[in-house]
Order: sequence, then C-alpha cells, then structure tokens
Amino acid sequence: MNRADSLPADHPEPECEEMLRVLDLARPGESDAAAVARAEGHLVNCASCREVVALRQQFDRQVARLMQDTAVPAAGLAQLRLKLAAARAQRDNRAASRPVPVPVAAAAFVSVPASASRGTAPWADGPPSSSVTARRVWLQRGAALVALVLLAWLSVWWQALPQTSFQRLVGALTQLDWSQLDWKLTRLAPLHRLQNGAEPRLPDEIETRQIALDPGALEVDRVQAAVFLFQFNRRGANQVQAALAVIPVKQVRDANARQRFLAVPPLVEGDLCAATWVEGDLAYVCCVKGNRSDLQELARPRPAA
Amino acid sequence: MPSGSVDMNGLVDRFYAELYRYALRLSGSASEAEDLVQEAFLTAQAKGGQIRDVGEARAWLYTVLRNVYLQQVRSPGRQRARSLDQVPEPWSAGDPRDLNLDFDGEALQRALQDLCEEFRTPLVLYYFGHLSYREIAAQLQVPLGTVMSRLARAKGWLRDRLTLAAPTPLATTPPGAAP
Repeated sequence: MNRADSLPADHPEPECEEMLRVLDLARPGESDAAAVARAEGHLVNCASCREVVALRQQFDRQVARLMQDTAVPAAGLAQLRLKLAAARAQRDNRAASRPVPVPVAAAAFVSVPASASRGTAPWADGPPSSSVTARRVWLQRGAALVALVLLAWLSVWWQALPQTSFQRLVGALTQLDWSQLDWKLTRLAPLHRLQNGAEPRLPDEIETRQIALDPGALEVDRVQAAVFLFQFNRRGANQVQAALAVIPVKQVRDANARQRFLAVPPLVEGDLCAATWVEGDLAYVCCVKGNRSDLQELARPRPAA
Repeated sequence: MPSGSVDMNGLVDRFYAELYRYALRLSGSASEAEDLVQEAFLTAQAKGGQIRDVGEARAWLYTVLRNVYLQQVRSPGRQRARSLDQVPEPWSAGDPRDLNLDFDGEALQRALQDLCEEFRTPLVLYYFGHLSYREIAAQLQVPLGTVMSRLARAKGWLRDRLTLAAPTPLATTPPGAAP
C-alpha cells in the first residue's frame, strides 16, 4: 500500500479509499458516470476526501504542466524538414527513373520466340516442316535462355553501380553530428584517397581562410564522399555551422544519376540550406545551418592578399 | 501527397512540438527525442497514403514513435528501468493530505526514468491529455482495464515519489538488498 492509499485514521475505510480511487482517474465522458456521481456525493460529506482530491488535482495539474514545460529545439525541426524533403525528392527520383524490372524485360524478350513456337509468327513461305519447326523452337529457346542470363548479369552489374543523388547526400549530411566538428575524423578515410593521392582540394569559390578543415568520409549509396564539417564567420553575424561533401564526378557513372545529382536547384528547408555544383572532376554538396545568404557567404570573393 | 491523405508539412507544424515532448519524457534525452520524432515522421511520410485524417495521424504518429522507442530500449546493452513490482513503495505510511508539491521538471524526469516502460508510457500519455483511455489502450495494445490498473498504480507511485519530503533509506533500497 502506498501513501496515497493509506488513509488517515478519521477515514471510514474502505469507502473513502474506493471513492478516491474512482475520482483519481475520472474523466468526463470516459468514466462510469454513476460511479463518479456516487464518489462526488461522498465528497459532499467527507472533508478529508475533499482535501485529498483537491491536493491530487493540484498535483496532476503540476505534473501535466511540467510534462509540457520543455523548450523544443528549432534546429531539430529544421533538420526534420530537410530530411523529409530529401526523402520526398529521393522517392520522386526513384519513381521517375525506375528501370524496367528484369523479370518483366525477360518476359517481354521471351514472349516473341515463344509465340513464334506456337505457330503465330508470320512465315514468309508457308508452314515449315515439323523437323524444321522443332529445330527453330530449340534455337529460339536457347536464344531466350542466353538472353535471360545476359539480362541477369546486366541487372547485377547495374545494381552494383554507385548511384546517389543530391538529396540523398544532403540527407546523409544532416545525419552527422555537427555539434562535434571532430566527428569520427580519426576513423574516416582522408580526401586524398579519393583523389588518387593528390592533395586535398577545395572548391575555388569557397573562402577557406576561416575554415578549420579536417576531411572525413561518408559512403552514401556506394558513393564515397569526403566530408568537411566546419564553422565560418558570417559578416556581422555569429558563426554558422556547415558541412561540405566532395565526390569525384566519375564515381557517379550512371548518366541519369549524374543528372539528378548535378543539375538540381538549392534545397531550402527551415533553417537549413544546401546547394550542389561541379568544379572540374569534383562535385560538391554544401549544407549550412542557415539561409541562402549564409550559403552565399561561403562563395564571397577572396580578400586581396 | 496523394489526394485523400494528409499533408505532411501540416502534420509537422501541428504535432512536432508535442511529439518531441512525448519522446523526451519517454527517453529522457533531448538527442534521442529528436531522433525518435524524426524517425516517426519519416515513417509517416513513407506510408503517408495510409493516413486519412489528422486525428488518425496523431494517434498513428504516437504509435510509430513508441514502437521506435521500444526497439531502442529493447536493444542489447540498454539499461532497463525497474518494474513497479521491483520498486519498493517510497512511502509506507502517512497522511495523503500532506502532499509536498515543491518538485520540478528534473525531479519529474528522474522519477519517470525509474519507471519501467509499461507504466511510464501510459502515465506520460495520461498527463499529456491528448488521448482517451481507449486510445491509450489501443496504443499499448492492452485491454482498457489493464490501462486503468497500470495508471492507478503508476499515478500513486509517482505521487509518492515526487511528494516525498525526505526519502528514508528504505524507500530507495531494492528488495533483498542489505539495509
């Protein structure tokens, strides 16, 4: 028995206990109206229970208020909007460029020789003899089998191709913990591995003077990206957090995927803004916790030396 | 969004804050709460065509969030809170009219974290006041009577825990432990 149930000596147990139990969870329209009415009637004649009920109601109000009394971080909301937008874009991209499934393609491929074997093909010189028909059927079946094997191999090869998109990469960037700029850097491959041992190279448009850089790596849809998490000082404003992903263009081998990745407008969602561009053989995705002007701040001209 | 289903941005505007608070009370961690809410909305968007109205969406989002949370708490290595059966009553005697209401949000969160999930979730849902008892029962996939029973016990325990002016050593000693 807990304290709330252990009533003082002046309570005529068990009636008070039962009445308090009923009232403790009473909700209009949800509780047994008759039981609640009886309990409320009990309160009229029981000062102790009235006092207990009043205190419990006060307690409930305080707990309910404290439950709600929490600041909701705006950054989380902005991040969610960006993720939802990225997921929507990804879904739309997939729907727009979904390849024909192998079984469907195979069925379509096989249907022609199969229908021919049933004698529906338009023979030019009248119906062939039975031995010729049988030979043709076997040849057609063999061709269909070879085609199926070829299609299966193509499917496996296609699936193994690295493919990603701007939205997918932005979504991955938002998953990183930007508050810790040294995030996993020690366990990640450096950028120069992606550039065949050459020195890490940053885009020309980005003013790097104020950026403390240390590249990490991220794999998204089998595409390896070098990642920089950094802060920069916006002119006349506070520091802005940002992430920059760099991938060699040649990694995105599929033409459709390349188009999806490289020819997209900036993504703006709440307090997050992202853009992508290409310089030489490298593609960049930059995401800032700010607005378009914060993003453009990165591209301001280098001050004269 | 297909026609007939709800607008996801509208759902985010309307429910993000309350779901975050719900997640925070369940998990006790701001970062976990953000992850839980994001996962719930991403799942909702992926299956958005199944949601037809806002009222349905709210209950559905709560369910998704709780399921994601349960997957996390049931993962290996997570420390589990004690069941009410394992938690000794913090007060064994006294006058129920002596409630000390001088507690804050941190004390409330600590108390919630000491409750096992089967009691914590209905309690949080109850105090949020957004869902009826039947909706809570549907959330937890338990009979209505079970919800009422758990709520009665959890509320009593929470009152005792939070309004305890000066806990005695006995109140926090697990059963079977040396005094």
